[in-house]
Amino acid sequence: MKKIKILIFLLLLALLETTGLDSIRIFNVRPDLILIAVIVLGFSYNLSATLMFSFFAGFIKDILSTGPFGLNTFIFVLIGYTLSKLSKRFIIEGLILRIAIISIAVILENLVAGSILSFYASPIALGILLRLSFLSAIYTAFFSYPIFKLLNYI
Amino acid sequence: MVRFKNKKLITFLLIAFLFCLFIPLLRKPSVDILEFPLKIFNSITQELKAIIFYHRNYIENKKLNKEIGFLKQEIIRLREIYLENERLKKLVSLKKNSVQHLVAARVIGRDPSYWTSVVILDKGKKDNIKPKLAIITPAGLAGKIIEVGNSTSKAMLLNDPNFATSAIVQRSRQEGLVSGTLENRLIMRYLPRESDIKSQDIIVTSGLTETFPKGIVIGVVSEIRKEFSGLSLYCLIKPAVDFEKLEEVLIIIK
Repeated sequence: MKKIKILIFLLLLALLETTGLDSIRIFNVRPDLILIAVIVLGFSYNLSATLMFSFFAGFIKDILSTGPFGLNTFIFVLIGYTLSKLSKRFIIEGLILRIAIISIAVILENLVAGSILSFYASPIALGILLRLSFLSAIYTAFFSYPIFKLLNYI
Repeated sequence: MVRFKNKKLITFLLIAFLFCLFIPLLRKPSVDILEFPLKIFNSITQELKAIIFYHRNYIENKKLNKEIGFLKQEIIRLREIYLENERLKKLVSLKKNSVQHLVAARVIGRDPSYWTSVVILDKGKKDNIKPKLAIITPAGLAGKIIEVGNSTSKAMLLNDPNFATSAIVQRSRQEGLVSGTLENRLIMRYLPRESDIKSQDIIVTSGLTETFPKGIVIGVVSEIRKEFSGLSLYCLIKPAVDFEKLEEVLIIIK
């Protein structure tokens, strides 16, 4: 039952990202709420549950976007897998450490996705790629605390 | 135990890979299924924005009302010129331009990734929407349709880096290629060094790209620069359409 609630929560986050976050864009950047949720779930659940949530989150993002299908699914599953393994080896407690991990994950996700899309479609200028990656990391980290709280509540 | 766990992981990845191979077929119907929740979310956010940005909207409303007065005068003047043009065309028996059929569509969502500029519209196949149709606003060209579902469609905006269209400078008729930069500005390339182009020139579609009718406003030149090689120029264009505030568009049905 809890897993179903989390899946619905991920779907709602995806819909919110697609509709509501435009008005809070800064330099064309919006916070990536689904990625925050996937990372938080990676800290809290076992490997199979994390993979399921990551797959679902990436899949929803792929449906709503127009890039190569499976790109977000692949990246999210990779992030979920890595975090699940990391959380077994290291104790990742503390809000600041988790926010730092979220920032790093966002930068890597954007660099990988942006680079793949550059090869798949028109090239994206390196300056724009780096700027958007770092800005989105800061902005997404800013929104991570409310998502932590919401997921704990669920 | 480790081998068994790895087997499980490999099996999962294999199933996920096979799943992803066949799932692209389900993308369009999946967006159609999400149309209703997207509309609900969009309506709620529009209402919240109206409340939060009340003062800003009030000031903008006052400013726009003033502009409407001036524009109404301009419309009357241009209508006179149009009627005169029609009379003169009849005199020289020129063929009339065909009337464009327009379908209004609402923007119900946006692509969540940063690397594309794509919006989801609430019209699809059942409204005669097909891929590659142009979308415009009263301000100018906005983009083109790229994917069509039964009741929804996706449109690529002008500022998407994958977007490109042939355009001309309205004043000098100099041709170039306009494409997006992900930011709220466009770039027009392949301008010869001796091009007759200057700041504040209006850029319109040339009609050479099959998708876009001739003469639709794209934007205004803001800056002109030399390419790295020094052999040609490129210019930055401030688009006529504000892509961040796009709420409704018109789709040109041929």
